[in-house]
Amino acid sequence: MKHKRFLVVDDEPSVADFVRTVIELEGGIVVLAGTAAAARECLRVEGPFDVMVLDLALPDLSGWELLASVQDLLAGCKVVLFSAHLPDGGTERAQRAAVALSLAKPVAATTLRDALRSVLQPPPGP
Amino acid sequence: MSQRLQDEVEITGLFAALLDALPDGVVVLNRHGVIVACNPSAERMIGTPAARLIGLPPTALFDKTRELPPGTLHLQYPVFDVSRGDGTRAWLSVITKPLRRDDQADAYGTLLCLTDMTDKKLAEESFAEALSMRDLIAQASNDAIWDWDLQSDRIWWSEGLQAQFGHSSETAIDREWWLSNVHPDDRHMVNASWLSVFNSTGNVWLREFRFRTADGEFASVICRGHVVRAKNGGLVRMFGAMQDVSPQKRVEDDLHQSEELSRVVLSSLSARIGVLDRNGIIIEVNDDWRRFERDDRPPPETRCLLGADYVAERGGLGSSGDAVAEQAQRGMREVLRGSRRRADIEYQLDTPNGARWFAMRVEPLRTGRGGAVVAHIETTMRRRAEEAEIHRLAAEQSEQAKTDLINVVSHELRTPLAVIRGHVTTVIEYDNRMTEAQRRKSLESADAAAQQLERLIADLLMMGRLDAGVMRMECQPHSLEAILRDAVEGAETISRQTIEISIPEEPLAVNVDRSRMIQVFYNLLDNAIKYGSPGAPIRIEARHAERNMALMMVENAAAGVRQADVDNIFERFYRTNHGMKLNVRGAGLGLSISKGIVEAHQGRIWARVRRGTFQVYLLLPKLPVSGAEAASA
Repeated sequence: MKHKRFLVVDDEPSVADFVRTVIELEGGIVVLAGTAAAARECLRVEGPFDVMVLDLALPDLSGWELLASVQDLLAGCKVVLFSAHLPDGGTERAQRAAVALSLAKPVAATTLRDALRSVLQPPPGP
Repeated sequence: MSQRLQDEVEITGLFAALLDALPDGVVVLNRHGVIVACNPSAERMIGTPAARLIGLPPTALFDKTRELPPGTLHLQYPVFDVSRGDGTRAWLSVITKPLRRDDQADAYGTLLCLTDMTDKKLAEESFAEALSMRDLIAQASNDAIWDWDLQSDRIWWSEGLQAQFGHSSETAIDREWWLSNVHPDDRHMVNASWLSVFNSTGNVWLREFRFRTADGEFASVICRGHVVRAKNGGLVRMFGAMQDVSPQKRVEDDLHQSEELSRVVLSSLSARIGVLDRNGIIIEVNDDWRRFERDDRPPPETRCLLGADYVAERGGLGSSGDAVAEQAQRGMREVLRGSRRRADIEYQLDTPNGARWFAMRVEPLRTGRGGAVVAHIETTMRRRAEEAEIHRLAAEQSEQAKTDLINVVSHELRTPLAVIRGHVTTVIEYDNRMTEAQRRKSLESADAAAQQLERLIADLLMMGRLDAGVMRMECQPHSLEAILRDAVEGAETISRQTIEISIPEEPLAVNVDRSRMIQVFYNLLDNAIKYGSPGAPIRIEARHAERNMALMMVENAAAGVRQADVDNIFERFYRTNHGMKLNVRGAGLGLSISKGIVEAHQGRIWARVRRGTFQVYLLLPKLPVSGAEAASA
């Protein structure tokens, strides 16, 4: 995770703070966004990112809507959903939106770390 | 005296008596043309006594006379216009006869026989005048004027026959022609009506029938005739007029058709329809109305049928309650008076077939005569369907509310739990790598999240108790001012926002559970701090209201908030778009709990947006002055 760039999108500052602490302790670089609008701006101005950790319940748009609107800015960026509640049909929807992984809150620090490491692993060779 | 002489004397006496008795006038002239005798009738006709006439020439009789034009009075004899001695006029016809003896060729005298034609002359004059009048009327009228000589069966028609019906008056000459142009179905009736009037003593004939026009169409006509009879009652003539009433007839037919249509429509409608006159009396009802009054009118109501005073009967709604019946009565009165364009009343009746719902509508009849139409439409089925729909929706909503509750509670519990678990496990896992400051920050975040969890659980418990009605309120008299100040003090610990309090001079006391009421105001202030415009003051105002109530208002500036944003703010878990945009945390329970607490105190709470400010109003029963003093003390 060293030197990898992470965009953490969550409207709950304490949750975002937890994710940032774990990533930074693992040597990663974190940018925080509390709204979909801020996230879009970060993707445009501060991108590219290696991973986007995304909460689905955002104050201005849903995480799904944000994903649909920033597809062109996500080239090479893995998306990890990090939400308290994945609605019915969420798994299929996540697949369609090319989400790499879904994590349901709450999680332990090690679970989060392992998940982020796994999405950064290069796919196994043939 | 010889027998012959005696016979002559007797005959002469007999003639003299006969002459005296004759109604006609007889004047005798001698061979010299001098009047020698005249009978009493001649004296009367001429207007001069015989004594003054004898010895005079006959020209003395007609000295002041003139002969009328030949042919007048249709007589072959000359007629003279005589001025009588008394100044009156007479018309006399004169027959002249020479007096001859059988054996002699020369006449020895002349006999003038006079007949008084005055009455006949006057009648002829009057008739001529009538004919002239008839012609004038015929010219002035569009109708076909006719004059039927019943003795000769000749009929004279005016130009109207041509103008109205296209027939030439020259061909229309008699009864046979007339009857041949009457519609075959009416012919017998017309002929019989003629015979009827001719054979009676009546003089007026009036019939309506169909009459063929020259182009073969039948026109509806009204024919009036007046029969003229002689003194002896014999038929002389009948004259009158025939009027084409086809246009009126068509209008009448149309009207009749339209009335028939209305009647059919009314009877086929599945609604009770009645028509009231301007006084509210029922003048028309349809079949449904009659059926209802017969089978369904709940006793002991009077049946409202034709002739009933529907306004006095209050629309027959007495059994559905006085207020409804009076509403119906007032509605009908106002519509009939013209002060209202429509009255709608919904009511329930306990009929022999069970409770049924109806909608009554009263609308004015827009005719010159006034009045109103009343319609009762049964709405029982609609009502039941609506009730079923409401129940279904309520069940659906209840189900949805449960799902929402689970989702929201799950989300709201998981978020602080995620913070606690995340930070605590981070400290455990990365203890060696963390700085003291990082460690402390993580633990403080976990503690704050734990407190958030605690509050949420307390709110959920309270909501459950309010819902179940088991929330115990320990009510005591309290000064409202003290409660407000405590709430403000609490709010000031979380924000440096200015809070202004406005309290009336006269003490205001309420009987409330103090801690719960402080919680209500704290929630309202917390809400105002979170959602209000930063830096703008928050205002609390309390005052005495009508009906022994205390009114409180919490107001804050909130630019961009619309009424639609606040219409549901007392619903649980409801969060406004405005709040979401401001990224304000909360489960949406504070205002819902406040509402529950206020209502448990028999109070009311509501919110509105006014000129960029968000206002929450709260109404609570206040205590009388003694209670207020006790509370202040």
